[in-house]
Amino acid sequence: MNNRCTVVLEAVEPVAHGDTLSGIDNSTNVRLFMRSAILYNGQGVRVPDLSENALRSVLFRRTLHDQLLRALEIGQGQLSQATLNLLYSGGSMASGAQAPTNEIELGHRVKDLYPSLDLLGGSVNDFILPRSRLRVTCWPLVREYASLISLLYPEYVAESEKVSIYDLLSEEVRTRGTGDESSGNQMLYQYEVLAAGARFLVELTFDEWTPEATRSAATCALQSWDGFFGGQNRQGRGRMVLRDNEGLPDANIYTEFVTGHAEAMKAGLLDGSLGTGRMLCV
Amino acid sequence: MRMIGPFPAMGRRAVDMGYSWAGMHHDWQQSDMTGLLVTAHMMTPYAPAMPHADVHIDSLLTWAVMQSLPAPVFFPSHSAAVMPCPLRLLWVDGAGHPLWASTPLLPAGDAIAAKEYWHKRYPSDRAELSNKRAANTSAGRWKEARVPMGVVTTSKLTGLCIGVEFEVHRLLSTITHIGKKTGTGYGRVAKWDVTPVGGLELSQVLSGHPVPVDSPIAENVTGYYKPSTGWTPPYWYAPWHSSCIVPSAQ
Repeated sequence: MNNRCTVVLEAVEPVAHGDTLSGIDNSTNVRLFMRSAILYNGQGVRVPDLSENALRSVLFRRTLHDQLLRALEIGQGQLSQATLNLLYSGGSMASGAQAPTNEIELGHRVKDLYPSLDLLGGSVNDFILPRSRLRVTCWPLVREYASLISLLYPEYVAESEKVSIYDLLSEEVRTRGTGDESSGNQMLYQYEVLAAGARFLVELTFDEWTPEATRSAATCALQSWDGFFGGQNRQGRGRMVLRDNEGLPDANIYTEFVTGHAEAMKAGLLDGSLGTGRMLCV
Repeated sequence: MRMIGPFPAMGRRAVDMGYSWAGMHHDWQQSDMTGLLVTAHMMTPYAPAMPHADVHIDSLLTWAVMQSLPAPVFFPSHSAAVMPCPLRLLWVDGAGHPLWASTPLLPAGDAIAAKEYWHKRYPSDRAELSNKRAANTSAGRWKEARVPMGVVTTSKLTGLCIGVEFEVHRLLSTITHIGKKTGTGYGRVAKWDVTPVGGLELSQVLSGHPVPVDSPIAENVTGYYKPSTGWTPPYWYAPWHSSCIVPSAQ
């Protein structure tokens, strides 16, 4: 069984950093990409990077669960907050959580019925589900990462050597009018972007025991993804396309699984039992 | 040969195929063992688990043993279990827990200790799907979080062990990620090198590993006394912690 496959994400619009929600940014500052520490020519440097945590959320978690709820005909006001949070954000345990003695068994039953949760993991009211099956790793195809990329994917080294991440990095400045009385009251805001054309090698590694339906869910997610990543999507930033995505698992296995288990999956989401007979997300 | 345990339950398929923990343990302990230098070539920063921050070779190997079986392994809830390992068995405590001849993996050459952050947010843009739309995202269960995480960037991690060369290499080669947060790409290992080291002394291996004070080996270890720490896989499992002599370098 091949436990690994890769895709390339290519930006067809500049990609911007996305965090405007959590209040951690000072909105008057330039919004910066996250920086990852790497050793480059023996020197430690921090270079702009895409967050694999965000890739998991945007490419897989959100996409799969939007699709799942559509397929199960679940709409507004039907899920508990805990279930909603589990599906879209990985869940949070409740205060005073006490895991039942059979938490491992319950966790595996949840993962058996919901391949998307098997793929991505999460936590319910009282415990954390057994480990997720998917590991996502991403490298910008740039000079700074070329020596690392050569260890596993030498076919991408020549491309990576052509450009530095700093050649791709720039800032965009936007203006926002705060009134209509004069031209002097515009608010400037700035954010970093990586240039259109930037490419990112994304590696998907599956756990040794990953069932076919779970592997298939990963492909299904990529095929259903709306193509936007990062911030400023409303003005087109972050539009990306998938390249070099041959060798992905067959997406039909997952869609057939959902069709075949629709009734149980829907009931488990609506009552918060997730198919276990015990109320896990209420 | 000293027996170790308790072992976890093995899946029926593996049993039917002739696998047994005791058999694996016996075969490995009867095999030729040699001093080995283990090198992990790293592609991404790794996030050591805190507070027991080391990535131990024996932990990696026992995990790989479990993964390499043709059927899942069943652990009793809220407990841990012992796995056989192709490393020299140095000592067994009264409960059957083994002390293996291995060190942690440590950066070789340049390394950068850095802090990265991961974020958790309530899915406010999908709140209409919930039966309650209001959610307090600044306190309580739905609080949004920016969580700092210590990571180490290095090109190579190395460690020493005494074991069965072929088996150590075979098992480590199945491991693609080490440390925490592997789901988001941390700790990606490009390849493993396992090379024999002529004349490796046991004292060199013990110089990087906590040794229980109950063990007679502890007399030969230079370090400091630690009232309670992990010394056998799984290192995080506190009920198995005991008083150890911890090498000064740690």
